Amino acid sequence: MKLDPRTKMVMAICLSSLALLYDTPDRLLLLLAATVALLLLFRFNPGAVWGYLKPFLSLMLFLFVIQSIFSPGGAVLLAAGPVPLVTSQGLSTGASVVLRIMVVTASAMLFTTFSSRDFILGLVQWKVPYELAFMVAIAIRFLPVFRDEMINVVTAVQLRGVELKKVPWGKKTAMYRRLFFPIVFGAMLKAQQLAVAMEARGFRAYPRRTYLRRLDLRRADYMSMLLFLSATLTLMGADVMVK
Amino acid sequence: MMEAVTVQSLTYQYRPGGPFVLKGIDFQVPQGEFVVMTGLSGCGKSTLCFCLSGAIHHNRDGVMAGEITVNGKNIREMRPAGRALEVGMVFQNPDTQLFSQTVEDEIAFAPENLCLPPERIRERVESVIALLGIAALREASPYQLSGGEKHLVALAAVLALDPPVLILDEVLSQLDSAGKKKVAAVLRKLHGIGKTIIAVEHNLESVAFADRLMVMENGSLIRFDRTETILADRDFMDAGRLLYDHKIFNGVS
Ligand SMILES: Nc1ncnc2c1ncn2[C@@H]1O[C@H](COP(=O)(O)OP(=O)(O)O)[C@@H](O)[C@H]1O
Ligand SMILES: [Mg+2]
Repeated sequence: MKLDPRTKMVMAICLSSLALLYDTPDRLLLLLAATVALLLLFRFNPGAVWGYLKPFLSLMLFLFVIQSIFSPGGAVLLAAGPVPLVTSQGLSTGASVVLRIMVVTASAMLFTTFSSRDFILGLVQWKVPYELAFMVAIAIRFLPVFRDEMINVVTAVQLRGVELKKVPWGKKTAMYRRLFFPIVFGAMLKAQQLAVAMEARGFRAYPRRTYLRRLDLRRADYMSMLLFLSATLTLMGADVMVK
Repeated sequence: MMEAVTVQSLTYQYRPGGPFVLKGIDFQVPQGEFVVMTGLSGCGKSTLCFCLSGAIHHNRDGVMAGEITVNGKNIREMRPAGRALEVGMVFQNPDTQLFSQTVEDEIAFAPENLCLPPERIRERVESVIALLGIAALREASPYQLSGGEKHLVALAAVLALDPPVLILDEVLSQLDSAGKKKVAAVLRKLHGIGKTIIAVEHNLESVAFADRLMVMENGSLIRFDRTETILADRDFMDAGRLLYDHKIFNGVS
C-alpha cells in the first residue's frame, strides 16, 4: 500500500500514544500485533523488524527483571523465605514495560518506510519551516550513523585485544564512558561536514525554498488518518471512562 | 576586464601556532579565465581551494590571514549560502559533499535553494544530466557510486547552482580515460560560456587547453604563467616539480 508519509506519521503517533496510555500486557500485545501487521502491510521485511529490536533486547530483559522485582503485588509465585521474589503483579508490570518499548520502537519504524525527501516534503507542505523539517530528517538519518560509529569504536577497542564480553560490569561502564566521546565526536564531525556541503550549495540562501516535487494526500490517506485518529480517540476516551 | 578572484597575502594555519600550510599567496584571476592549479601532493592545493570557496571558515581552529575577493566581494563578509551563489566548489573527497538519496535529488537540491519554480528546477536538472551524460545514474544512490561517478554527480550538483566561479579539486583524478575526456570537454564548454574555472589537476594532458598554470610548492605559489610558456620551459619542467608525463606531451607537441 502506498500512503503519504504524513499519514504514516499520524499512524505512528496514534500507536505510540496508545502504548503510553495502556498498562496491561494483553492490550499492549494487541497493539504490538497491530503495529507489526501495519509494518508488514507497508512491505517491511520481518527480518528487519527483528534487526531493529535486537540491540534493545538486553535492555528490555533488564527492565523486565527490575520492574518485576520492584513492583510487587498480587499472588506470590516465587519467594526466598519471607521475601517475595516473583509476583503476578510484578510480572505483568515487567511485561507491560517491555511491550510498550516494543510498540514505540516498531511504530517508529514506520518512519523508515518512506524517504527523507518525502518526509521533508510532507512536513513543509504542512507549513513546518523548512530548516526544522531538514533538521528532523537529518537527525533521523543520523541514527544509523551513530550506530555504525558505535560499532566502529567497539571494533577498534576489540582490535586492541579487549574482549567486551569478558570485561566486568564496573569497568564496562567506565569504558563506555570513554567510548562515548569518540562516538559523539565522529557523529558531530559528520554533521559538520554535512552542514558545509549543504551551505556550499546555497542551503538557507533565502528564507524560502521551492521543491522539484510535491506530495498530494489522496483519499486513502484521508481515510486512513480519519480511521486512526477516531479509533485512537475512542480507545483513549474508553480508557479514561473505565478508570 | 574585472577580476573574478583576487588573493592577497593569504596565509593559513590549521591551528594557532601550527605550521603555515599557505605561506603568503598573491594572485588574480580575471573573469572567464581557466586556470589549472598543480603541484605535488601535500603542497596546499586543497587548502587553497577551501579558502577560495569560503568553506574553510567552518574550521574554527584555523587561522586565515590576508584577503580574498570573489567578483569584487570580500569572502569573509558573505554568508555561507551567499558565497555559494558566487563560487561553487567540488571537493577532492566526494563522500563529504553528497547527502541526498538519489542522484536526481542531489542535483535538484541547489536550484531548490534558489527558489526556482518546479518547471525551472526540472529544466536545470535535465540540462546538467545531459551535459555530463549521467542519465543512467539518475535514480541511483550517490553513496553507492564509484569514486569517479561521485565526482561527476558532485560536479553536476554544483553546476545546477550555476555559479560564475567554479573551484574543482581533482575531479578528473578518479575517472577512467574516457571519463576524463568527457569531463574535460564539459570544462571546455563551461570555459566557452564565460565561467571562471580554477581546477586542481595533476594530469596536465587532459587540461592542456587551460589559459594559465598555477604551480604550488610547499605552501607557496612558485609559478603562475601561461600554460604554453610553462610547458615550454624545459628547465622548470625537468626540475620534477609537477607530476606530468613528458613522453605523452612531447608526442603531442
Ligand atoms: N584538516 C587538516 N588539519 C591539519 N592539517 C591539515 C588538514 N588538512 C590538510 N592538512 C595539511 O596541510 C597540508 C596541505 O594539505 P592539502 O591542502 O590537502 O594539500 P594538497 O591538496 O596539495 O595535497 C598537508 O601538510 C596536510 O597534512
Ligand atoms: Mg588535495
